[in-house]
Formats: sequence, structure tokens, C-alpha cells
Amino acid sequence: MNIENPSMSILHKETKKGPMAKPMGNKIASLLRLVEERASSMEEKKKKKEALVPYLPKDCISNILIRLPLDSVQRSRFVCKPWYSIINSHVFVDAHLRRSESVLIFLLSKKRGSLYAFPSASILPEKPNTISIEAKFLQTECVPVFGLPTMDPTLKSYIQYLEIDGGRSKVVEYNASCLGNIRATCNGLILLDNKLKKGGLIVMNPVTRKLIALPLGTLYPPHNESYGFASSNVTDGYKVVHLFRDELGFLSCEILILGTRLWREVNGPSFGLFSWFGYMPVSAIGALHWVPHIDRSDFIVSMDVEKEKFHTIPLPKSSRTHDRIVETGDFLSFVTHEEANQIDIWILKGLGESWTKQHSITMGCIMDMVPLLSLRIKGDMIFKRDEDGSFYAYDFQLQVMRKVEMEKGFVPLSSSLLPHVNSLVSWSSRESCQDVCD
Amino acid sequence: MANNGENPSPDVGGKTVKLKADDGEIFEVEEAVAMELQTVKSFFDDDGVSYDTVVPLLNVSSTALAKVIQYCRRAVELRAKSGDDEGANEKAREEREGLEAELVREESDEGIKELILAANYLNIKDMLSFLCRAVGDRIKNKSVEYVRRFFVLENDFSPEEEERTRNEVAWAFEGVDAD
Repeated sequence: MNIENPSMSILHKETKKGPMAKPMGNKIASLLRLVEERASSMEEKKKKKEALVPYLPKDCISNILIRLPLDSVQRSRFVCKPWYSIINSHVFVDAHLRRSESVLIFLLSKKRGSLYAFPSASILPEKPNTISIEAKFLQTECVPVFGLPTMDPTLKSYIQYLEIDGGRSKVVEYNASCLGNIRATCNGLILLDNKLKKGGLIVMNPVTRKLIALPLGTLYPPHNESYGFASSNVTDGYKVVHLFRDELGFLSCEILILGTRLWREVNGPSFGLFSWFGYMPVSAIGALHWVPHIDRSDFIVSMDVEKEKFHTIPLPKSSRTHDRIVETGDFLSFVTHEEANQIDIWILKGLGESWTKQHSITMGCIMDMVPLLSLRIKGDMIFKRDEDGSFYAYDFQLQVMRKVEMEKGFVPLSSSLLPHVNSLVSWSSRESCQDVCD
Repeated sequence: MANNGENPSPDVGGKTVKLKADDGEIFEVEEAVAMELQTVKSFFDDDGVSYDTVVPLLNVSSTALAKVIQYCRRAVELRAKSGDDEGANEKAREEREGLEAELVREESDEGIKELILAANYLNIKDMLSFLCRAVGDRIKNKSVEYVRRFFVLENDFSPEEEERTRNEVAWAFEGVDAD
């Protein structure tokens, strides 16, 4: 249909059909024909457009996207608006989270790196698109800042994570720097010190780089406090738990629901229960669990996340320096060195239940192996040796302890590593975003 | 690839089911294989539907249906092989993975999308999983434009919208293959 030259085609039609009756009739007829032609060409355009409409149904698209690595998922947001809303939906984010393997997140800094026998100058120069958490925090606070406060570059740490698969591993950078320490992790979110605000904290997802500053809680010196971070079914969000000991030795606790503005005080554990706040709490079976003494702990202190009540739970045997509690799948495990060549794994299936010995590792055990993490998909138990910082992975299927090769990157000896998972989780992800831009 | 001609005659004592593709072509399939297609299984689970009824699969092309049937046949055979023996299980699993890789390797982008639509409509969970995984592998390091062409999608973002959100995830665009 030649619409570029409607007069031509009208002429053509006229000659085909023979001369029309009157000049006036001609004009009306030609106008009508023009309208007809325009209408049919628009129909053709519409048909063409329909062919471009995504014809794989939404659940097939989700099924494909859910198997992609996170950087691909992030790029896929820009394919078209329907894809943007699929990826933003909390159903998708949760499903992707469930399929993602655990990693160990840690900080790399000059001052930490110097414990290795090589010059701090060899720590890689900063990559061009590295964002500073502090700079981002200042942006989100919308406070006019005339230049960033002077931050000593040697205090900067780079956030990285260690991926372990069988005997292989890889260190991956987030290209993000921060000044403070990582205090706790949960579902891909991390709780960080906010060095720009004394005692302040930030919760951030290092993948999406979204962050939120928490309102100030009670300020306490770091060696007398501990933070826990857990998801809450009731509030359908996240709780940050701040446990601390005051000058008189009383244990207090305050809880913040992420996204709200007030810390609430709750009854803390009994006086004198804790002598050591150095072990990070473990989130499992609906509670946060602390080992309260550095050595010879006969019990753990647990806080039910929903009820916000503290209990002590006796351990099947004393927890010694290299023993730990670890979240394993749906249970809490107590991983303990039985003798020089044996590591026992006890599990607790629920708060009211008893410990049962589930497994004994009898080969490849070394006394200073500290259990760090259980891989949520593959199931391997990851250990780190105190003496040389080397990593080991125990495969429960093959019943074999493998030393992990560091293929790429390195982890400084003194770095503390926290269990983590890369996800798109956000604290406000309960509603799927209708807006295109956040 | 001839379709009906490849159907072996049904086993002695085995029931068969007739499936009709969108172009009217009929496929006669062993019952065990047909039941892999959950949509077909539900069709017969309804009371009073006789096994002689031809199942109309209006949304599935005959080419796709032939491939689906071929895959399901092999999958059922392999499942019969595996049992309590760890070794046999392992071997069956490897063979099945080989079968999946083979099916996917030969397919064009259009072909694989057609198979996904078929597996989705026929509700074959395992087949759908490996097909989606295969598509994921094909697009995972590609640019946004490539992905749009692959799925025949139009960019419905305004330039401003795109610019604004793209800056947020600039780091995700490193390491993308050239188209």
C-alpha cells in the first residue's frame, strides 16, 4: 500500500474502476479512500508490533532469569519494562535467593594486608568504578557537603567475597570501599559501621548498592557489644539486634526493625552470662545464637527472633577455642573437635529440641580448623585454619576433606569472614515496585 | 525428520495414547511416555475420559512435539535403568545430561524458544528446567540489545529512564561479550 503518495494510488484506483460520476463525488470518494488506506496501513503496523510483543509467557521468562548470575540479572532489568517488574518483584528476588550459593564476605585493607609478608603497595590500586560507601551515604542523606571529609586512604577497606566450589575458590571484588567493619550479614544484606557518624550503622546490599542508614542506638564500646541480623516472618522484614553490656555488667538488648526509626529495648540475657562478645551470632532455627565465652562454653545464649526472648541452651559438650556453631540448611549445627583426628557435628532442629550427633568427620581433620560456613546448596562445610589461614572443604557425599586452592585473589590471614549470599534483597522489597526508576 | 515413521510399535501389553499437534499430525505414544507430559496426564485424570481419546495439543507444533516425545522416551528409559545402586544412578544421570546437551546443542535460538513454549504448555518440569538453563547460558554474557533481539522485544524505556537506572548498575555492564 503506497501511502507516501496517496494521490497516486487514488488516481490508480480511479483508472481501474473507470471514471467516477461527478467532480464533487470524486472528492468525497477520494477522501474516503484516503481514510481507508490510512486505516489499513495502521493495521499492518499494529500486526508488526504484535509480533514484537514478548511471546514467551512471564513464568518462562522468570524461569530463565532465575538461573542467571546476578550481573546478568541486573543487566536484564533494562531489556524492557515487563522484565524490569519481574526482576523487581519480591517473589523473583526470594526465589533467586533460595537458589544462590553461600560465600564468605570479608574486608581487604592495607592495614590488614600488611600481616602478609609483602609490601602494602602491592595491594591493587583502586578500580575506576569503585564506590565508597561513605560517599554514597552522604548522597542519600541529601546533606549538602562541600567536599568529602578527609578520610585517611590507608584506613579504607575493600569489600570482597570468597566463593568456594569443591577444591577451588575465587575471590571476587564488589568494587566498593568502606571505612568500618562488617558487623553482621543476612540474606545478602550486610550491617556495616558508619564511620561518618559516631556509633552509626549502615545496612547495605553490596550487589545492588542500595543502602540505608540506621537511626542511632545506644552507644557502647565495641568490645562489650555484639550485633545480630535476622529475617523476621512476622514483620516480613529484618531485625537488627544490639546486645551490649554496661559498666555494671548488666546485659541489655535493643532491637530495630529495619526501615523503622526507633530502637526498642527488650529484656536482655541474665547478668553475667557473657564474658566474650567476640563471636558473631549465628542465625538459625528462628533465633540468633551466641557462644558467650571464648573457651569452654557449656551453653549458648539464644534469642528467639519473633518472641524476642533470651534462653540458654546447653551444648552436648564444652565448646572449645576451635569449635563453633554454624547454620546448616534449616538447622543449627555445633561443630566440635572431638580428638586430634575427629570432628563431630551435632544438630539442633528447633529451639525446644535436643542435640543429636549427626556426623563424624574422621579423616583430614586438623586441630586448628575453625568451621566457618555450611554451603547452603552444595552442603559442604568450610573450615579455616588458624595457623596459616588456609581453607578446607568437607564434602558430606564423598566424605572427603579437601584443601581449597586459592585460584584467584587472596584472603589476608587476619580477615574475619562472615557467611553471606549474593542477592537482590532489599528491606522494602515486599511490594513489587511499580515505578521504573527507584 | 520423519515423525510418525519413527514411532516404534507399542510394547506388548502397553497402552498407547494418541496426541494431536497443531497441524493435525497424530503421534502415537506409549502411555508411560505420554504421562511425562503433565498436561496429558491431567487430561486423562478427568473422570470418564477414555484412553482412546485423541488429545488435542493445539499450541504445540509437530516438530516440537516430535522432539518432546523423543526426549521423554529416552528419559523414561533412563529412569527405569537407575535404581538403588549409586553407580547405576550416577551413570543414568550422566547419560541424561548428555541427552539434554545433545538436544540443546543442535537447536537454533528460535527452535529452543519453541521447545520452551511446548514444554511449558505440556507441563514437563525437568525438560523445561534444562531448556531454560540452556537459554540462560546463551544470553548470560550478552548485551541488553542482544537479549532483546533474541526474545524479539522492544525497548519501551524512555532514554531518560534508561540513563537514570543504568548509572546505578554500571558495574554490571563490564565483561559483556561483543555482540
